[in-house]
Amino acid sequence: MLNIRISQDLLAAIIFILIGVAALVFGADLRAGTSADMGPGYLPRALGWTVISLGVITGLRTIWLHSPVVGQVKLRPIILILVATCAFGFLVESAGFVVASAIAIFNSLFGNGRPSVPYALGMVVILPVALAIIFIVGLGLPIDLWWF
Amino acid sequence: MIADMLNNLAIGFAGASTLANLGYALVGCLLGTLVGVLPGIGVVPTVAMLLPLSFGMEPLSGLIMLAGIYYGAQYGGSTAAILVRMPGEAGSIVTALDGYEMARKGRAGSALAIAALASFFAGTVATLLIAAFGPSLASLAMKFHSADYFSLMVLGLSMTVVLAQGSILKAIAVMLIGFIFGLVGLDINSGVQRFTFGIPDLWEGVSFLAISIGLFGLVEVVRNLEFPEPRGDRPKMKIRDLYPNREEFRESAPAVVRGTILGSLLGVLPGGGAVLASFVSYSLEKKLSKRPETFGKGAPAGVASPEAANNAGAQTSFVPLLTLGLPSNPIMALLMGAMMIHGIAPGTAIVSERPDLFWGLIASMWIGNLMLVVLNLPLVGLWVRLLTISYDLLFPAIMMFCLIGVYSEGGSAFQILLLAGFTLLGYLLMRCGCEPAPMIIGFILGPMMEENLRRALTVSGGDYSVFIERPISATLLAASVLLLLLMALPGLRKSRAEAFQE
Repeated sequence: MLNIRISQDLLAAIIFILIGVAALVFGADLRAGTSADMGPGYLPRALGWTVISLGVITGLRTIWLHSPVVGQVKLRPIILILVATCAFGFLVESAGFVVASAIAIFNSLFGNGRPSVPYALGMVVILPVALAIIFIVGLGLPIDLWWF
Repeated sequence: MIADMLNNLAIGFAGASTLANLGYALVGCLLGTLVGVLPGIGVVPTVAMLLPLSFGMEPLSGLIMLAGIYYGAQYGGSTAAILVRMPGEAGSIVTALDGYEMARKGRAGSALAIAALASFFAGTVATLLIAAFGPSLASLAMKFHSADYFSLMVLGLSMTVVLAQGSILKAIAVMLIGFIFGLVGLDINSGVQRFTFGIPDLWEGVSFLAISIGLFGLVEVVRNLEFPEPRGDRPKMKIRDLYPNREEFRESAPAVVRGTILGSLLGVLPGGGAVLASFVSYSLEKKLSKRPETFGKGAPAGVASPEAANNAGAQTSFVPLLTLGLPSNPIMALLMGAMMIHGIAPGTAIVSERPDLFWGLIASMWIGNLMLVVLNLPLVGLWVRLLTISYDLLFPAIMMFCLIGVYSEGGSAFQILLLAGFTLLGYLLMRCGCEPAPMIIGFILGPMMEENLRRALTVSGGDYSVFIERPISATLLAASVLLLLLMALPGLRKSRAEAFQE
């Protein structure tokens, strides 16, 4: 559990400014050109600056405009769903679909609290097999079922 | 013109009613309803999640199935709204008001039938309207120059921003961020790679599936885990007589007609008019009713009118996509992405170059609507049982659907990492009170806007006044400015906030 005390608008402002700056930094080597002959960097630059300014306005606005605080963030769901996603991505090629999805599902279950053993066992065993039958055997998606 | 239209519709029905395509429409409607009725899954996540199923198919079959999924999911949403007061999406919020009250009075069957028949009527009328006016709109769009296109897209983006929930400023920023993600990859004009960091997976741009499934699919899973919705009560009433009685029928019929007209008109507007239409039609009926006090307490017209408006709007929202190549809401953006993956560029050319596709899709809209009526009323018992499935059993399967969907497109682990990244971004934005819809619209429209802006300015020699000198472009821009200005007025802003509150 994480309690974020800054306001929603301020956090939004920070995200906007970071993304705008990233667009400017990583787009710095792109030729901007002129409006008559736009280069690949013309819009990235324009958009980067616009997003930054919108971020700044959103942030400054919090001085006089009330915005609710972000508040309690339960870390469990977001972190475990991300872990499950990445685990699937890293494992699916080497370990095959069944093992990768079993591990992903196992992780995701903890995103919802502590799972009971029979429920966890059921999900981890039945769901990957069912999905494999539907998508790989049935619909013929080209994903390896096993590691061999 | 009518002979032309009938002739074209005949072509469409011939293409859409082959046995295989009827089968796909059926599967789409069933799947859509099945997923749409499940607790905690709205229409957009349903479509995003099931999108990859269509990739192996013929373009027309794939689109027919996706359209079926869309209608089915909407229908499932209304069913959930009526039976357990859990509207899966914004469009059925109003339906839940009176639909659920009807259900509590033992008129659940009647409410479901009214919703189904209202939707079917609205769908039929809207389909005919598209058939009648779609092609002429497309030929009007042939006169559009790049400057006009650019301004049209500006209008579309303004509508999206205005109709998004919460702060307009934040919605604009989120949309422009989507625009930036849309620029990733090879710049066609200069042949330069932008923001690809030497990663081959990014050469063709950010995967459309990774961004849409991340923002709409996985973020929803996380949101539902973090903020579990209070479980709806299992409806106790029996779904006896499925037919509305005479009085209910008499009250609903005119409301359906008004809802259909309103929905068809508002649905065409870029920016997602269907939701707006359901709200507006509900308050219109309340004003026109002889007994406004019954609204909110189970008035049949309060179910019939917004359902008709919502469905008519859902149908006519295909018009800007099919004639101008302009997606008017996130679902249309998803369908547009699917079309592009199938190698079809939606836009003015689609009517003349792929009439089989255009008319086939229109015909399939009607077929899909018919199937929903025929199928869903008898299957109501099954949907009721689905409504009570625990989210504990659902969410791992939903997550896996999302992962398989993204992985099956490119078959690379990088796409899955991208999916994780967009899930995190989408989650953070959600916690900041930002909606994801403008981002996906910006992502889809962005590259097209850049192209048209570039072309218009090259022709004009870099002179921005070209956008106000061309009458079409000037009108469209003026409309966008007016729209945004109106939203800045305090009075309207308040009523917009209230509309979203309800």
